[in-house]
Amino acid sequence: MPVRNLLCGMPDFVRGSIGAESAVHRCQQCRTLGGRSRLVTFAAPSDFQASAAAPFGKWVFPVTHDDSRSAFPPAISLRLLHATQGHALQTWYFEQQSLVRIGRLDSGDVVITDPRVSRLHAELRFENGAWQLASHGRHGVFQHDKLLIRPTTTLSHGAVFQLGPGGPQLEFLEVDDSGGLEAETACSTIEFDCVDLSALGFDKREAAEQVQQIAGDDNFRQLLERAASLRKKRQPPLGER
Amino acid sequence: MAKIISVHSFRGGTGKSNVTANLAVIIAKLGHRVAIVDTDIQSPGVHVLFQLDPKRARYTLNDYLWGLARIEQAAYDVTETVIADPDGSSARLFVVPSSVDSGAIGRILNEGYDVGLLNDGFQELIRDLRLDYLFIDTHPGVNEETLLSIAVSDVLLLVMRPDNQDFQGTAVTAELARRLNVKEMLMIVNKVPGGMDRQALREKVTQLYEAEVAGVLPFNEEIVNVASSAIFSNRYSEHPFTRGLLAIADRLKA
Ligand SMILES: Nc1ncnc2c1ncn2[C@@H]1O[C@H](COP(=O)(O)OP(=O)(O)OP(=O)(O)O)[C@@H](O)[C@H]1O
Ligand SMILES: [Mg+2]
Repeated sequence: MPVRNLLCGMPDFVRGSIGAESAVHRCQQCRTLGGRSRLVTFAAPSDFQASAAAPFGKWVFPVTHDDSRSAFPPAISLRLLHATQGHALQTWYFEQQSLVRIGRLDSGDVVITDPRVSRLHAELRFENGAWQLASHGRHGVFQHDKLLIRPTTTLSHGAVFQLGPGGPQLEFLEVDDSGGLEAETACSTIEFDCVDLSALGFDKREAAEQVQQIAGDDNFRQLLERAASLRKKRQPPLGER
Repeated sequence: MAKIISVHSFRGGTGKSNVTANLAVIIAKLGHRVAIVDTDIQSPGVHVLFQLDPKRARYTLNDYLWGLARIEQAAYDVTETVIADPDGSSARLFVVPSSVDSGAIGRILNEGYDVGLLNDGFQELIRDLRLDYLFIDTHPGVNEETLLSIAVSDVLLLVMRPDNQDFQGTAVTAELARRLNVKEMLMIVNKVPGGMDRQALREKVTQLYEAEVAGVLPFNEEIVNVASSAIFSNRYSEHPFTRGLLAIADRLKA
């Protein structure tokens, strides 16, 4: 079952070389939508398929939901909310990543250029099976207008937190990447042209006629006798040597 | 008892020579003594995969068939070329190439050859080289010589691609092989494109030909990297093509 990429809605793929421990995670579709390519680590599923259609002579296979669930934290997204109207101004999507750094620094995962935001303002960490928020900024992190004072706060789906008093608000969402994807197979993605097997076959009558033409005459009968006599010349079993 | 395995397909270019060479190497590496005879006299090819130059070979299969040499004289030990560190192992791999000289090819095509003599050659190889496995790479299509080689084999590997022309021709070949009382016939589907469901294809072929499918091998893009001058499974040991071949080799050892 492929993981759905929230940016583009397409099931996600890992493209890489066989035997490589990591590969560039790159969904063609969401790259065009401005998504970022990241390095992820993967283990090839036992049944991955080669794709003749894949460019660069590489291998393309779906990251299965189960694989990512066991090895990596569940995918999340963070939405920067409009201060008054509440709609998303920007969305970040993270999967297979257990640390998300939020701040003004370019090197962070979520970069927000706002004077109320510190260089490294907050960190999201997946620990003990849950996402924890830790504040690092001078201006603190607020939830429901209250300053978070404990070292970490567990976030649940839909939690909204604010960077600094009156600062930008982020909504935390756990991404349910299994919804509605059961029916999808690798064939339904952009990477594969699914080949219809039902068109493959042969004409039984025609085959029978051709066999009859070859096997029906005297020559073939002689061939059979010849074959039988040749077989008699087989070497004794090697086990006896 | 030595196993004679012939590798055949109805149409050309299905991958017989590549499959033969790789299986032979895989099996030899397990410590067996293996030989390949290139009986595709009209269009020899398997020697290339072992970097053997028949022009420089003193004798070829043709010389044996004309009575100019014993067949062991045309058997070249390629163990060192394809197996790293064969020392101390009982692994041995020999190749009997066919001549690439157009005069030699033409002569065989005109005069034909004595299949009885060829069969004697197989037996001599098995005995004198103390072989565990003998692979026969064949010329595609239905002809008398090839049918007889199939008939003296313990196993026929019938290679096909997943297209209708191959499906049709393979149906005829498979039926003829049955009438020749070939002991065991195993199907190999090769060059299967990525979008095809390999498991469904396996089931389909099993059912259509009422035969065991030993392998469904993917279309292999990396094969061009090794060109025709190296053994693919040596270079890409984890590749699905290689893994498919390993499973076939396992089946052949059974
Ligand atoms: N699984 C594969 N995927 C892609 N290319 C392949 C595959 N198997 C073989 N080939 C390529 O197909 C071509 C034909 O292979 P090969 O010579 O082994 O076939 P053949 O059946 O022996 O041909 P011929 O009938 O001419 O003797 C070669 O270029 C080989 O590299
Ligand atoms: Mg060939």
